[in-house]
Amino acid sequence: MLILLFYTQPQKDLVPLISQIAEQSVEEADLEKEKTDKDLVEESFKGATVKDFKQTVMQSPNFLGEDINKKLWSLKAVKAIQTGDLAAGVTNLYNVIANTLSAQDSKVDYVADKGEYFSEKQIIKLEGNVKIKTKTFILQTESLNYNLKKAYAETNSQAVIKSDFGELFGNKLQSFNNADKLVLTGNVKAILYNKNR
Amino acid sequence: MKKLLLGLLLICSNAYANQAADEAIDITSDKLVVKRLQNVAVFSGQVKSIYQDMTLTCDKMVLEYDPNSKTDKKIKYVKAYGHVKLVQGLDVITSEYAEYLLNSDEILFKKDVILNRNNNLLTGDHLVINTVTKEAKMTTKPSKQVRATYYNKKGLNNEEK
Repeated sequence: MLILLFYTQPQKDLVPLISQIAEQSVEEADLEKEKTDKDLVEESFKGATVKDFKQTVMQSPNFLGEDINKKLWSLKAVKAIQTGDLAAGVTNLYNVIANTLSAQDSKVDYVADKGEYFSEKQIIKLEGNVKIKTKTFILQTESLNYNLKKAYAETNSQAVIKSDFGELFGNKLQSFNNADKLVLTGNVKAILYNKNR
Repeated sequence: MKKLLLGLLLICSNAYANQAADEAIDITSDKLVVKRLQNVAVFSGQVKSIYQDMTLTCDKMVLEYDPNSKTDKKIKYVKAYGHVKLVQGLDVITSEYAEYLLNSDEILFKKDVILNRNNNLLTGDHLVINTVTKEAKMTTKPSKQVRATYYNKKGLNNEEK
């Protein structure tokens, strides 16, 4: 009864009004839907270029270069995944081995489970069972940054050096000219064998 | 029988461990620089070295080794610089420089040398001590004299020059 008392518009005039309102709503909804899809696509690719999505998988890659001492280095892996172009991208390497020579022509190998190779700077970040092998010693650590161009390496974890002369330990190791000179710092300990073993 | 065998094994392993320990020099420091081409290792910063029954501390230690040594010893020499202190049994020796030639069993001390043997003091500029026989020979510059301060049984202080 109360509702009927407040109702004044004749019923026959309501139908076109309601229909009109409904049509307008549908059109607006459709427009809204199209805009959202387009916007969504555009937003998802905002700032991105084609090269960001380009990935190259390589089997047994071999990168070559020359360091500051004019010594050739070669960087090999069992598998590599390169993101972006080689010039400015990052290459993830698996079962890495880098062969090079020290400034005095002593053979040096860098070995690791995996590495990230930044080709533009010629730097590789080695991770997992990292070793530097020379004729006279083996260095072991978990993480190491190796600048192929400068023939310089630096560990990010404890370093252990084993040789015929003994064992050396340190929190951090720096290697210059591909292990011609080594600097150990932080809780340095050396166990040196005086007699032939 | 089992206990006897176990005891023998322990004695043998202990003897071997002592022999192995005697052959090794144990060094700790803040920093180490290894120059592979020169076969030289330089320890610096709170250097402490233990070899057999000797403990040597200093500010800096330089060690040279011979990879092609035809003798059974690979380390040629050990040189210690700055606040050098050697402790061997009841002997305490301090100086500013020391040099240990491993093939000769002799240690040379230079500059402000003080030998403290069972609280008996000997001072001079140049000391050579044999690590096996414990024989010590102190000399000094021509203008100076060796000073010895020793204590008799009653604790009286006697000085000799």
